[in-house]
Amino acid sequence: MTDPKISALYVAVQEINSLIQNGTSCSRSLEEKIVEHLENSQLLGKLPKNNGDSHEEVYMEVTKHGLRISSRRTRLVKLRIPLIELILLTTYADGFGRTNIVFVEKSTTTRYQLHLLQATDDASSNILCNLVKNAFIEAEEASALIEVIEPPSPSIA
Amino acid sequence: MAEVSVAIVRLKISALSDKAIPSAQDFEICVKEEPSTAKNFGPVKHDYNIKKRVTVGGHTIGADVFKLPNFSFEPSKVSTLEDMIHDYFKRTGNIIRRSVRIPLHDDLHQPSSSTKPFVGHVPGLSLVCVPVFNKESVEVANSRYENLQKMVNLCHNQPEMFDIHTKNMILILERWLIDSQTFDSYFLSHFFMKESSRTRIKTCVHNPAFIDLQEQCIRHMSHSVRSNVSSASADLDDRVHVANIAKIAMLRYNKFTISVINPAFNPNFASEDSSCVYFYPGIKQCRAQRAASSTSQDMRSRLYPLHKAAEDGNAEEIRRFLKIGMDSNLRDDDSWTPLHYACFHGHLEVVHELLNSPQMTAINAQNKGGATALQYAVINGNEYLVEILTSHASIDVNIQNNEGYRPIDYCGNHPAIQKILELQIFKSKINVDTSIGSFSIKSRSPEEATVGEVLDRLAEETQLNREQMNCFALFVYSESMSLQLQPDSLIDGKLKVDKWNTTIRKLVGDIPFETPRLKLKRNAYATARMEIVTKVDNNSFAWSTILDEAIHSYLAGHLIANSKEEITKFAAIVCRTMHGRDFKPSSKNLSNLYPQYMLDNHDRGKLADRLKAQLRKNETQNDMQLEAEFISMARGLVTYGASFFDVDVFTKKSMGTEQGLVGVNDHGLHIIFKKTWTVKNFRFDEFTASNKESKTLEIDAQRVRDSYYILVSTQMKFLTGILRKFQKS
Repeated sequence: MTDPKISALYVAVQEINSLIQNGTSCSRSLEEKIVEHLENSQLLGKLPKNNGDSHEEVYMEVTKHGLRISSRRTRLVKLRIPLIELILLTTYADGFGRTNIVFVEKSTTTRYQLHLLQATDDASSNILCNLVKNAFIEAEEASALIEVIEPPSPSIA
Repeated sequence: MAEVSVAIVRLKISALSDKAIPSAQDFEICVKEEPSTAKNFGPVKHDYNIKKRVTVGGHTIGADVFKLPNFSFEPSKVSTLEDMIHDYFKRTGNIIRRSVRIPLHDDLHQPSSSTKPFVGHVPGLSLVCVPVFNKESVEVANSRYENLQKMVNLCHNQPEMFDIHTKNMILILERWLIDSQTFDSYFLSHFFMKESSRTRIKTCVHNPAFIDLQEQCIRHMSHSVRSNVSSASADLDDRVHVANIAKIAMLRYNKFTISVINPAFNPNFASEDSSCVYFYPGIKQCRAQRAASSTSQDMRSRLYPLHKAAEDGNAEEIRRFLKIGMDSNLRDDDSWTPLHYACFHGHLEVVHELLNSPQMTAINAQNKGGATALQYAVINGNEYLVEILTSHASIDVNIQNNEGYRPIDYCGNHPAIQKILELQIFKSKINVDTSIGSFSIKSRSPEEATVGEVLDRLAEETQLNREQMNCFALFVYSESMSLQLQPDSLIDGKLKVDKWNTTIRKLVGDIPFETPRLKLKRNAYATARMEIVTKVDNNSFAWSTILDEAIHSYLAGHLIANSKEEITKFAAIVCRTMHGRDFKPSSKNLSNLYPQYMLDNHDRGKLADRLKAQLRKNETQNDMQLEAEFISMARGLVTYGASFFDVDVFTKKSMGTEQGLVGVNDHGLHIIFKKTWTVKNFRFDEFTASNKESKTLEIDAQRVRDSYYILVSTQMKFLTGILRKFQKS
């Protein structure tokens, strides 16, 4: 049995280095900052708009190893993000009846990449969130096996 | 300190009409009036006699100027301007949808009517635009909303009513709003009418390994049951511990998925099946790789029909393909020709058809591994195939593959095939005799081989360098005569039997039929000094050759010793070399120990007695020491290395003829009279040589020694050549 494939349009990708690391402000959550940052970039013309026709159709698959994005037309894998590097995944409405998907990939120690996709329908975005959530939960439960072998200790890193 | 100006823009209802592009009249901007401060830049001219009065909105404005609401902040304490703006409005009780930082450009064109100088971009000054929809209310103290078009008009007509930076920002803002709507028809909808991001976020999933980021998330956190318990307890150590364990678990998953299907269990394989897509570490993209299946066989039949038929042994198919003009030398993906397949599988008829094809099949074609068809025939032990291939006129049995092996190297288990190949190999070898045996020099074309090439090959095999090899030369010889060859001579021409015997009869006389052979000897032009300088003695092959020739020269009587004791030493060393330590010399077995002239002119018993005494003295020395002593003594003689020829010697006084030997080396000319075996040595400065006839050489030494000789020999041209060579040097 293979994992379900979620269809989406790959809109844009942007690299940031300071947005997520901000910890002083408490008025807005991390998700709000990410969404507003992407939308402002679109207003200023730095990123393509959601309603563009040149976006590539992709499939997204989630396994315990990570997230895999492949092209719908050529079936070649475009992007593969290991689970350890997938920091955040959020879905939001773009205000015009469509659902956008944003996930944050950790590029290096201090820089992050924001990947913006547009889901084909609301159901697929919900399925994607559940799959990623289950992957994280599975990793946490798998870590319990490590505790059986090794005693709990703060020095484990 | 940095400063940020906030342009609170409110959209009027008129902008929602069907107009394609709105104008500045559709917006209202929030401005406030403040007294002019020292922040103004540039000269300000005041006419104290006339007070300017401008009515805006029914109010009278005196020395006040318009400014946008602004704030000061420390850049190091604020990460983004948007966060600061949101915090400010939240503290004042207002809710804004978004804040957009507008880039300030330096290319603003100054109106020509302005009398004030243009002030460019000031570092630390920023402009943030806060959109407000018409039904919302965002108020700032001491400010009011004015129509944007009126503000723009005042900026152009009465710039003194604005702060210098405020004027620039208003103009930039107006242009940005108009241009954005022009390029994107949905700009106003996105900018003014879209709800805030907080209300539009649906779900959020966080990675539990990044605990420091979870604190910034306020909704929809993903945790397992155990993690929720840890989170509820608010114990930071436990939360860090869980995060670290989760990170370790995820790191273990950080590997690439590989899915490979055995073609035998997947008959419906399709190249687009993602299950066969490989992932490589470090490569974001992957590429599909097809596995071999029955379809590839069909494709190979279509692309390489000759190869397929040769592999199957279908001679009829081969004949048909060759008849319609297919290329019999075509190579497949592995660079095999049809002949390779036929020989590999042992199809005799197919090989026969290919070799007899009118398209001249390349019998010596090599594949990627460098192997020829003959090699596969030998490996498989097919004797008949080997005979067919070796009978071809163009076959080359000495081609090596990439591992350096020839077909004959695979004949260990097939004696019959080895015999066939040896007969072929014999044709392409040049045999050279040396003191330690015969060398077989490999040559692809013996007819075109030169003496220089053979010497180079011999040098490689005997590990002699170029300087050392100059001490040796190639000779063509038989029982009666030996001639040194020039380096550029063709060997095949010198080994002609008829020509060689004609030359012998011309120079030596009527002799029986002799077969010419090649031999490596000491060069006639080499000197003792040359041997010492090049350290030729260090090479075992060279040492054996030099020692062998020195012994032969001694036994031939060409090395004339200076005393009886010295010649006894020579004999003792020769005795040890030839017969070993246990040999007992006597008057009957001295034939190979002393030169013939010594045996003829002296008592053999005395010679034997002296030899025994010398042998006892040499018992404490080993063979190598004795050999070195022999060579050292030989090189000390003036006749060492001389090439001697049989001549008839005429003298002026006696008017008679004597048989003699004449030799030439770097020391000079040496004449040995055979009757008494006495030698006359002449240095090159003691005589003059003249060659009046082709077979006559006159030696005039009367000026120094009152000697005059006339030498007559059929080989005079060789003697003269060597003589002139040394005289020049």
